[in-house]
Amino acid sequence: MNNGTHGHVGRAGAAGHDNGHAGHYMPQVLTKTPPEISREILAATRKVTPRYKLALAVTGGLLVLGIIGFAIRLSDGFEKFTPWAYTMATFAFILATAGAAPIVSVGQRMIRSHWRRPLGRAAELFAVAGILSTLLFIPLLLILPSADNRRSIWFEFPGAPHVYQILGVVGLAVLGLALLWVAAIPDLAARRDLDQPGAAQRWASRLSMNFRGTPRQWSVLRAGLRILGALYFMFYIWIVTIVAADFAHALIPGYKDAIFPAHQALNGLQCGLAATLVAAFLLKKFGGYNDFLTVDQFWSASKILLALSLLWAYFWASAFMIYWYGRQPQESVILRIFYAESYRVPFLISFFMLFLVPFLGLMWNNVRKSILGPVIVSCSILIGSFFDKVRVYVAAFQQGDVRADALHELHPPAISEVTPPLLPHAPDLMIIAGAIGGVIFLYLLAAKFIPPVSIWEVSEGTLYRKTVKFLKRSIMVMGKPE
Amino acid sequence: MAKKQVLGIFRTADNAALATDRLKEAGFAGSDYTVLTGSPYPEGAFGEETTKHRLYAFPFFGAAIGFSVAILLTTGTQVSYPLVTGGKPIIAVPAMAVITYEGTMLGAIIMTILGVLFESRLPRAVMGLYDTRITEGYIGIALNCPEERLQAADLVFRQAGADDVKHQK
Repeated sequence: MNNGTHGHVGRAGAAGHDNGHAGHYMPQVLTKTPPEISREILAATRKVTPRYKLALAVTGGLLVLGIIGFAIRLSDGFEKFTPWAYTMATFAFILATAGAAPIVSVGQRMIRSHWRRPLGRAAELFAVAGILSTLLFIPLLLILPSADNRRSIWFEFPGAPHVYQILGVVGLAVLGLALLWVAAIPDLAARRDLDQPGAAQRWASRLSMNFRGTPRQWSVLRAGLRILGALYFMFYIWIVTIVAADFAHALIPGYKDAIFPAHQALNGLQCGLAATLVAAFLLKKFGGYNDFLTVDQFWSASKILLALSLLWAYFWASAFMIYWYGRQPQESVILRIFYAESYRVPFLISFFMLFLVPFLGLMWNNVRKSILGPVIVSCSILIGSFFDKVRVYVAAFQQGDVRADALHELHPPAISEVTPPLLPHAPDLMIIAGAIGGVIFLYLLAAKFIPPVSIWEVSEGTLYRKTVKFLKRSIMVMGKPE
Repeated sequence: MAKKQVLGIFRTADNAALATDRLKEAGFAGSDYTVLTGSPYPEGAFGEETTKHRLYAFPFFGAAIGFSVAILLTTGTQVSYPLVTGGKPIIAVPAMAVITYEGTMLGAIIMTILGVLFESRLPRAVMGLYDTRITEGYIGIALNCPEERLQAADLVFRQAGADDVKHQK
């Protein structure tokens, strides 16, 4: 294996990224030395291009627009659900994308995959959106009535659901930031050591807390990341479950769907991976990390993306067939609201973009084994997911007003009225644009402070991989120390 | 006996591994030195002593506290306001499970974050002897050395191929 310090610069395997000898795929092995890796990643992190400034200005502008929309919505008060329906859908979308993205890093780190090394930080950086989603969640929580004398998962415990919901959402945000910080401590130490003195260097120095890289610190860091990652996964699933239960399921009397929260959680994993791939593509294309993010990351991730998209369809079919064949009166109404009449368009868009596009696209190896293919599919998944959240949460919030009686009864009559679709108003559109723009804005800011490609993990990867000649071609040899 | 730190800086991992062998031959114990690297190497790659930490105990401890608080809260509530619902027992486990899970998780999360800091011995009040080249891939070996053996340690590092040797002032 590489001795970890000075080796050849460049790439093995046909010196390119795609095809090698006689058109065969050649292994992608980074042969840069750790000093080169540190210097290049830090240089890209520090570099502020006009394009970056423009992106920051646009997303910052959208965030301001969203704050104005939010202020307009505040004048509607918190007595009714309907004015906040699209805010809820937006919150659910951010929870599904930015909230789930760190799991991409967590899961791959737990199974000790090597291809994820340059990709993990791009996923973990989404944790900064936890600040925004927590702020967005507060008004939504104020609308929700207490759990007293109504059907919910809380069984009328004091403070339910508000105390437990806010503890959960804040807890997830804090856990995500802790995960990001712990994973970034060695890279912050690199900024401390290699940056010119300035505000960023000072903050990096503070946050790296005099990290020196002793065997004990590395051992604890890796164990800590595994534990925090496992906790993040367990907690994320939990948060999606209680949000789906309180903000959708419990608002619709007669809505019985045992896998609804699980379906929402699965969609989160799908969106988290999709958001990570889109971010990685933009970092590769415009961020200066072209050498570190290769087709390997997109190809490997696309297989998981395909599996998750197939699972999405399986979960959807499992839930749908109960209603389709059951056809009790309330089930027919739910079918008409969520699928066939009121929210038919969002449903068709979400089904097409969350299942058909990923399935028909990623079933082809040539599409999977590319950079653009998985990224286009990821964009489709993100758009489809937004419409899915609109379909589920806007419809549910409508029922919160139409069937307000059900929020104060233990045994309310089931849903019986098919309501027309609720279309967004100007403040809703401003909030949607502002929240999504705000997530990107925070991500962009964070990516200029914490390297979006992990220096220490990429450097570690070079210790264990190299290419060797095998007959008439090159193959990759990988060492596994554990 | 006063001890001072000596830091050997090595360009290659091979030389650093050689230096730890030479330190042992020169009579230094494994606990006298630590290896500093910019990225993690497999445990024992430099022949250093295995590090033991108790991080895995922290989430269990936190989870136990969170679980206990949640059980106390939910049991206490049900006992304080005893309402028979659907003929089920007053202390009903399914009803308590939701809050207990959240309490357990929150306890585990808080203690794990504290555990990472405590077991990493972070934040360190002072940096100690260090060289920024370590971040760039060089290997540092920080040795706690009695003052009268400083010259011997310096010689060991240089003979093993150290690029630089720094002494604590």
